[in-house]
Amino acid sequence: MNMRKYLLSGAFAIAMFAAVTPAANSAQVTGNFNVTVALTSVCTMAAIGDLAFGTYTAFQGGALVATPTSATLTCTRGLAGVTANFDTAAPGSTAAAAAANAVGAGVVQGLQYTILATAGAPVAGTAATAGSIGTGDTRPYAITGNMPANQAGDPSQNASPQVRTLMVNY
Amino acid sequence: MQFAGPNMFQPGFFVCFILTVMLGVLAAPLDAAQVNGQFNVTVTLQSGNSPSPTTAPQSAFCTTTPGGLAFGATVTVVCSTGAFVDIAPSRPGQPWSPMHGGAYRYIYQASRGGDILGTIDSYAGIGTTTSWRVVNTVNWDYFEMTTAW
Repeated sequence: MNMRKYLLSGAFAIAMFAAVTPAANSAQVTGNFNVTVALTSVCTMAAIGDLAFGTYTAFQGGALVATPTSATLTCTRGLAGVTANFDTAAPGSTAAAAAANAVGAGVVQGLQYTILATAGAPVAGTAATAGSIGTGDTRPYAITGNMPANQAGDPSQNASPQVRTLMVNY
Repeated sequence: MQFAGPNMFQPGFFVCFILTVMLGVLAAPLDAAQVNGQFNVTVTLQSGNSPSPTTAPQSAFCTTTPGGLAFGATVTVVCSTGAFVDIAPSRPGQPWSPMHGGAYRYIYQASRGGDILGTIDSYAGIGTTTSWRVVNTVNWDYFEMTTAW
């Protein structure tokens, strides 16, 4: 065997070893598993400003409209069937059953008033991705108040400010 | 003839049924939730007792019941201070007697630039309302009368 044949045979052997041997040794095994979570839907509510009626002059001829305030909720995305109602804890206060909009009434300083929380259109949040946690839906409520005309008032009945509560059910 | 399924009249069926109902009742509140937010309702009542003479006069704010125009009528005046005054005729068929500021006779002098216009009756007896004005302020209006006493 001359040198040339010897080299060719060696190169062929190395090539075959490199091409065949590694493939025969690598392998893969897979195992499936489940990612599970139980999501509890939650809404959070930001602080609500005062519903300020301003000054009511006894027996005034016109109704007094309060400066509106608002409540803003941040909720789990896609919540449906959200309802709202007012409390009845304040003295002399009443509230309608929970519905899309909350309706209530009350007495402050001996003056009767009505309140209404109107649900605005929800603003959809952003979905989570592998690179982002996403954001929740925003649900606004506009709270308005009206105080009828021709009321005498009573400074000793239900002092101002009077605390009321907006309850949102989901 | 026999039924192949469970007999609903067996005690075990009722136990299972009651448990199922109880689980359903208990499961419902777990799905419901609530979030609360408190807010203040504020108002400033402007009445006759208000200690703010710069913005309102220190007089009571009163109203009268309607329909007191006929002889023999009784008019009740209700004030925001809680005080009230009854104006009733002293004798049948006679005009109202002035009590606590009540008035039944009104004389308005038509004038311009301080000069009285016309020759109307200028007699102002007890209880005669002699002048009035409507005062317009920033947030409210009020009616003011001067009565001979």
